[in-house]
Amino acid sequence: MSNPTSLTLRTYQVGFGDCFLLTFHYPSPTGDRHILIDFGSTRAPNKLLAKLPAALPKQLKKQFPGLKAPVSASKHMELVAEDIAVQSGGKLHVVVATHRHKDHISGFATNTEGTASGNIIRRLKPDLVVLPWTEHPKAKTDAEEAPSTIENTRAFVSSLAAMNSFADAIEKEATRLIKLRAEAGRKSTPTLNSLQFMGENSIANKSAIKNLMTMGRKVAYVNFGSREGKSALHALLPGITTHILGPPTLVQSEAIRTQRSRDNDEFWTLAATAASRFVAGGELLFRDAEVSEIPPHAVWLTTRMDRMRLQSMSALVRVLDDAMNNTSVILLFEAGKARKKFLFPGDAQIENWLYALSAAPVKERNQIRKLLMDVDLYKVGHHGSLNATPKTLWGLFEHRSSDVHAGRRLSTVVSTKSGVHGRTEATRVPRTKLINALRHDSNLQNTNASQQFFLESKFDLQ
Amino acid sequence: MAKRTKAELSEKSLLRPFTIVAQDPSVRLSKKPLFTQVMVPAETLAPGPWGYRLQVIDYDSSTQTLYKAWADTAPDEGCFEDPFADSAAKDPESLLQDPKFHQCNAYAISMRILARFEQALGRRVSWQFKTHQLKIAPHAFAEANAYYSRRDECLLFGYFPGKHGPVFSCLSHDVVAHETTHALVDGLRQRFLDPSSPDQAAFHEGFCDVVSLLSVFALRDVVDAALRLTGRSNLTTKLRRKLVNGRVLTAEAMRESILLSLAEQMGQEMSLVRGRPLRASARLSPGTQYLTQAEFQLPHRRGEIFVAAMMQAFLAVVEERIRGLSAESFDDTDTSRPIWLDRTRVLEEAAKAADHLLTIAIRALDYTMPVHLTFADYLSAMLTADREVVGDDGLYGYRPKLLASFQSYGINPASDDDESGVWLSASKLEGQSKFKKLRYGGIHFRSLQTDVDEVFRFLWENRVPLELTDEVYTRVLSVRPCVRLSPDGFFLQETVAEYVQIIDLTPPDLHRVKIRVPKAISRSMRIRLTGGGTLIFDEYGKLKFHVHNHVLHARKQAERIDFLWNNGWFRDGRSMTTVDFSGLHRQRILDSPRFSEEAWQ
Repeated sequence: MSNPTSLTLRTYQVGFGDCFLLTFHYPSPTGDRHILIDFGSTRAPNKLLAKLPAALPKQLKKQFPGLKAPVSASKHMELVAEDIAVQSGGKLHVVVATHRHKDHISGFATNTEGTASGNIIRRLKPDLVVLPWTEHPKAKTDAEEAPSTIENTRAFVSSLAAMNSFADAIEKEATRLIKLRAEAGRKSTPTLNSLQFMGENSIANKSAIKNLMTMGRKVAYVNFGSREGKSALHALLPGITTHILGPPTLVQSEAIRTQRSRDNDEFWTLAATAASRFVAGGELLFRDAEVSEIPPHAVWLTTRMDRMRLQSMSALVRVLDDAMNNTSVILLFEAGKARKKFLFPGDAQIENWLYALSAAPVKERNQIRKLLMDVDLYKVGHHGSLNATPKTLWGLFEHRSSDVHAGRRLSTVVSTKSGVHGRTEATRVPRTKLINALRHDSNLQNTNASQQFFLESKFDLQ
Repeated sequence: MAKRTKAELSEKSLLRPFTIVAQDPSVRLSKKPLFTQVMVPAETLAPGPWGYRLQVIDYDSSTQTLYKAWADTAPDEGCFEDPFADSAAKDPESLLQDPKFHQCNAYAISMRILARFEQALGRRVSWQFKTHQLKIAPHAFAEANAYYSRRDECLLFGYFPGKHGPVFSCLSHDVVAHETTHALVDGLRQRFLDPSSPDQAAFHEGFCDVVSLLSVFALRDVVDAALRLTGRSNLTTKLRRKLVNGRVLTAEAMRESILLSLAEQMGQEMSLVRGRPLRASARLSPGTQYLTQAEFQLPHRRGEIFVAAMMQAFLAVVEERIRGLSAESFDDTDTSRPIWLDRTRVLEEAAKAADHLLTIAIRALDYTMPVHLTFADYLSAMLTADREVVGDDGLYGYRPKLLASFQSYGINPASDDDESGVWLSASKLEGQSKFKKLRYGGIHFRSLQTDVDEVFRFLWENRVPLELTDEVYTRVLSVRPCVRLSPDGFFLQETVAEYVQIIDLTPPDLHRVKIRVPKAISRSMRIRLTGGGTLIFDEYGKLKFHVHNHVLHARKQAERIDFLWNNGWFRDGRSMTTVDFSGLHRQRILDSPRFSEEAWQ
C-alpha cells in the first residue's frame, strides 16, 4: 500500500463561499487522488471578475481563447469547474459537500443544457460523494433505528427542510422590500441586505443537492465516527486515515438538537408557512374584515412595527443559519508517512464540535484531542465568523507559533469576503480578532486579500 | 357565565363587563370554546378600544394592513353592556374569527391585570415610558411570538397557522396577562431589565407566569372546567356534579390533576409562543439542587423554579382552605371514605387563595430593591409585604407556606433577621449599637410623600446610617404614596421611594474596592456598577424599611460581573442594554444554549 508523498491544496477564489481542491500525490502507479471539498458562492469575487479573463490560469486561457470581459458570476463558477477538471485530469475521486448552504454547494447546481458548473463537475465522475447524515433520503423513514430516534430524526430533518422554505420566504420578502425602496428612489438598508443574503444562502438549493446525490458511484451520508464513511474514503485514499468528527447524530449529541425547539419540531414549518402566506399583497389574515387607512396618530407605531418585523426576521434567520451550519461534515485527514493532519470543518460551530471535543466517550475524546493538537492545516470555519473556530479548538493546536520561521508552523486558510455577512461589529464576517490571531500565530492564506484565481499551497508528507 | 344585574352595569358603576376567552380557544367544554366575563374599570372608550391607559392599534406588519377598530356604543339606559355576551352565547365560533372581538379581548385582559395591580398596590401604576397609554397590537405579525417592548411602548401579539386555522396569541389569557405583567413590572422596577444575575432575568419571566396563572385561577369558570376535565376517577362527583371529594384535593393530588390539566390545556397551541412553562413547573418536584444546575442558569428555565415554588405554596393554601369547608376530620385513617364538599365552595376557596396570593405577590414588588433582585430577596419581600397588612399568620398561614415551599426549592429568605424571613425593620436597626440614629430634622412629611428632592434630602442627611456610598451618582427614581387594604378592612398607608447609585470603574479601580473581576477583562474597560434601595415610610413619615443593595458590595458585584462576563458581556465594548423580550421569548421556544466563552468576541 503506497503513501502519498505530498499534498497540493488549491483554494479557489469564489468570493463569499468555499471551494477547495486537495490533490494527494502518490508514487506511481497510484498517481494523484483528487478531493473536492465544497463548491459554492453567494457573493462573487468582483475584483477578480474585473481582471478576467486576463487573470485566468494559462490552460484555461488556451481553452477559452474567445472569452471577453466582463465575465459574469455564473461564468466564473463555470471557469472554476473547468479548472478543477483540468487540475484533476478529468477525474475526481471524492466530492465532499459539508452542508447545504448555498455558499458551499451552489456550484454543484446543473442546468438542462448541461453547461452549468454542476454539469462540469458531474462529468468528472466522482467515485464517492460525502454528505452529512441530515441529507440522507431515508432519514425520515429509517426503520433500523429505535422508534424514538426515528421520531427525533424525522422531526429534525423535516425542520431543516422547513428552515429552507422559511429562508426562501424571507429572501423573497427582502427582495420585494428592496425593490419597493428602489422604486421610491431609496437605497436598501443594511438589515434588508443582510436578510436577503442570509435568506438566499439558506434556500434549498435543490438542483445542487440532487446532483450531489446522483453524480457519484457511491454516496456516504456521514456522522461523527461513521465507519462506513471512513472505510469508503480509505479505499479511495490509501495511506490516508480520515477521521469524521462531525456532525453528531441526535442520539450522539443533544446540543445540536437544542438549536431548535425540543417540544415543538413544527416551529419552523409554521414559521415558513406564516412567512410565505402572510406578506403584503399576499393572503389577509381576515379576508372579510374591514380595513382602514393608517391614521396620523398611529403612524409612529406602525412604522416601528414594520422595523420590528424585519428585526425579528433577522433574528430568526440567524438561528436558522446557525442550525444549518451545525450540520457540517468535519473531516480530519491524517496523511503520509509524516502523518500530517489537515482539518476541514465546513461551517461547524461549537454546537457541532461539542460532541467531538467534550461529549464523546472519554477514550475517544482523548484520541481526538491528541489528533487535533497535531493539526498542520486548518481550514477556518465559517469564513472566519466569531463562533465557528471554538476557542477550545484553537487552544488545542500545538503548532501555533508567532515565529514565522518555526519548523512546523500551523497553516491556515480562510475563504471569505468582507462586507457581506453581519451588520454589526459583533456579527461581522470575517471577525477581525480571529483574523489577527490567525495572522499572528499561523501561516495564513486569505482569499479576501487575494485577486488570484486560486491560492496554492504544498505540503510535504514524507 | 353569570348575568350581571342592572345595578352592576349602571353607568355610574366603576366597572364594565367584557366577554373574554377564558384561557385560549383550544380549551373547549362540550366542544365549545370557553368564554368568561370580566369586569374592568369603566370608561367610555374611543375606537380601538382606546382608553385612558391602553390603546389598541390593530396593525398587521406582515401584511401591512390596519384592521378597522372596534367602536364603543353609548351606554344603553345608563348601563355599559357587554358588547360580545350575546355573540359568545349564539355563535361562539364566529366570534373567535372576529378581529374586533380580538381587539377587545386583549384590551379587557390587559385592563383587568392593570386594575389588579393597582388594587393590590393601592395606587396608580405608571408605564416605564413618558406617555400614559400602552399600545396593544393584537395581530402584530405572522410569527409565533408575543412580547412587550418598552422602546416601542407596546405589547405585540403574533399569529401563526395552526392545525385548524390561524392561532391568535391575543386570544390567550395566559399570553396577554403575561405580557401585560412585563409592562407593569417594568413600570414599577425599570432596572429589573438590566443585565444582572440569573435570578433577576428569570424573575421577570417567572413572575409574569405566576401572575397569569393566579389570575386564571381566580376565574372560576376555568377552574371549574379543569375540575371537570381532569377525568380522574377519584375526583368523580355525584349529585349532578355539585359535590367533590375533598379527600383527594391534597396539594400533591391537585398538582398532579388540576394543575397539570390546566398546564396541558394552556400549552396546546400557545406553546409555540411561550413554551410550556406551567407544564414544566408543575412537573418540577421540590428539590434544592436546581438552582446550581447548568440548565437552570438560562432565564426561562430558572423562572420555572420560581413558578414551581409559588404554585406549590398556592396549592398548600388551597388544600388548607378546602379542609376548612368540612366539619369532618381529614386526619382519620380511613382515607377511602370520601368527604363530600360543595363544588361551588371549593371553587370559591381556590379563587380566594389565588386572589390573596396574587395580592401578596404584586405588593411584594414594593418591598424589593430597585436592581439586582434575587429569588431570596423576593421571598423576603413577599413575607414582609404580607406581614405588614396581616400581622399574625392569618387563618391559612400564607407566609409559613410560602417560606416552606421556597425553601423546598433551595430558596431561603435573604433576610436573616429572624425565622420569619421578613426584612429587618428600620426601628430594629436603630436599636443596634453600631447603627446611628436616623435624622428627620428639616424633613417635611408632606413633601416626603411626593417630592423626589425631599427624599433625596432624607437620603443625603442619613447617608451614614443608611450605609450609602457618597462618591457615586445617586438619584431618587420615584416616590409613591399608597394605601393598602388589609383583609380585615383596615387601611395601611405607606410611601415607597426608590433610589439608585451608579458608578463606572475600571478593573484596577474595582481591585482597590476589593471587587474581583475576570482577568481577561481589559484593564481600560469601564464596568458599570449599580446599586440602590427602596425606602418604605409609614403614615407618619418614619422609615420602616430600607431594602437595598450596596453599590460596592464586593461579593455580590464580583459574582454579577463574573456571571455577565461568562454570558458574553463586557466584550468588545458590548453595551449593557436591557433585556429584549422578543429575543428572550424566542429563546424560550428554541431553547438554544450559548457558548460565549468559545466565541471571538
